[in-house]
Amino acid sequence: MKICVLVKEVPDAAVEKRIDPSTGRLDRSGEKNLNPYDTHAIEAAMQIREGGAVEVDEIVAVTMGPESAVRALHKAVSLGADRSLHLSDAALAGSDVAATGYALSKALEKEQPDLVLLGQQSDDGECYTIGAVVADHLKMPSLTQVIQLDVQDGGLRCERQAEYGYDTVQVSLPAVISVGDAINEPRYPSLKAIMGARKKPLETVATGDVGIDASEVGEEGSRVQCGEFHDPEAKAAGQIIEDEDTDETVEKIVAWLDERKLI
Amino acid sequence: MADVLTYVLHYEGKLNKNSLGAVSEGAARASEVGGECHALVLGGDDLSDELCQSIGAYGATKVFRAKGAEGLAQPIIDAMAKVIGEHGHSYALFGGGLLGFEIGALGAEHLGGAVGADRLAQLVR
Repeated sequence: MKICVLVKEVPDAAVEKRIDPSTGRLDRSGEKNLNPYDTHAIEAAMQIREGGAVEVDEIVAVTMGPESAVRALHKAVSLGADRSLHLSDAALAGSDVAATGYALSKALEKEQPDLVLLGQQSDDGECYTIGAVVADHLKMPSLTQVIQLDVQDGGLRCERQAEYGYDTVQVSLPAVISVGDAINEPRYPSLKAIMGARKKPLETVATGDVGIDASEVGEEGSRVQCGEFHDPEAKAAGQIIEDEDTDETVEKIVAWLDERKLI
Repeated sequence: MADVLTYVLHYEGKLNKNSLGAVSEGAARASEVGGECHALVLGGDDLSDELCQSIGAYGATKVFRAKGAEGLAQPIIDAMAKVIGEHGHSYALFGGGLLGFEIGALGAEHLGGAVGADRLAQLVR
């Protein structure tokens, strides 16, 4: 089995998120890191390999992003991926979810994986949607929010979080599975793995190398155009009632609730 | 046609609140552009006439009832694609939540539309 894990470089969790008004895109300057949700996908791939139910020939980390995204790939490799594929091209800048999914699917076509894993969301865009888009392009079944994954009967037996509890679903391969963060506890990379990550094979490809139609990606190729941006409306300050006299405090609370027709 | 199609999730004889919110929003936006809001439900015998009709109270002027497995995105997308193909809806709107993200993204890509998630307000043009 060949597993591809989609990973992404995102602003570090400590960096405040903001939209750059000049580009209409998320400001991705500052410290960056591997999307923490993707570490669960890498761990899931490693556990399939180590579980022994199926022989995993290769785990490939795949990303789309600028030159700096290589660091996310190094981190992915230090966590267990055997090699990585970096889709990088100026033409891809500004791609929306649909364009990104299309571009990633073309990169994945080159790899011909049996299984594509990814985290449930990215820590920056938080769209939760890229897996389904990729799956539709690849004509593979797709499942999201998977919190348990077992190789069984030539496919995958998945438990997923649903609106009203948990579903158990049998999925045939090849498939695209987005995993929830409850699926596992990602391991920490060893110092040896961190040091060795830069020596693992890393292939960089541009749009033309994987057959991406440049008119379908980037800002121009995106179906969603960003409009205006503004901060959320500030919440009014709450009312604090000091408990100096309990009877009086209760009266004030009851009056406050009554005024708003809450009782 | 400026009509909006929404998908309404249901479970154990009750309609999902997020889905009904999408119906209300769809009805409001459809009226802005001179269209109607329709709803699609998918399931088995548990989809009673009464349950389907109750969606009208949230602004849906027509409800499509399809038989199929509830809980997976693909059967819903197949049903929506058929309805949209026959009726020519311009927009599809989904309630948030786990399945909403999956159906919305898969549906948008499958139908060649744009996908947006976690919208606080939907602008229909």
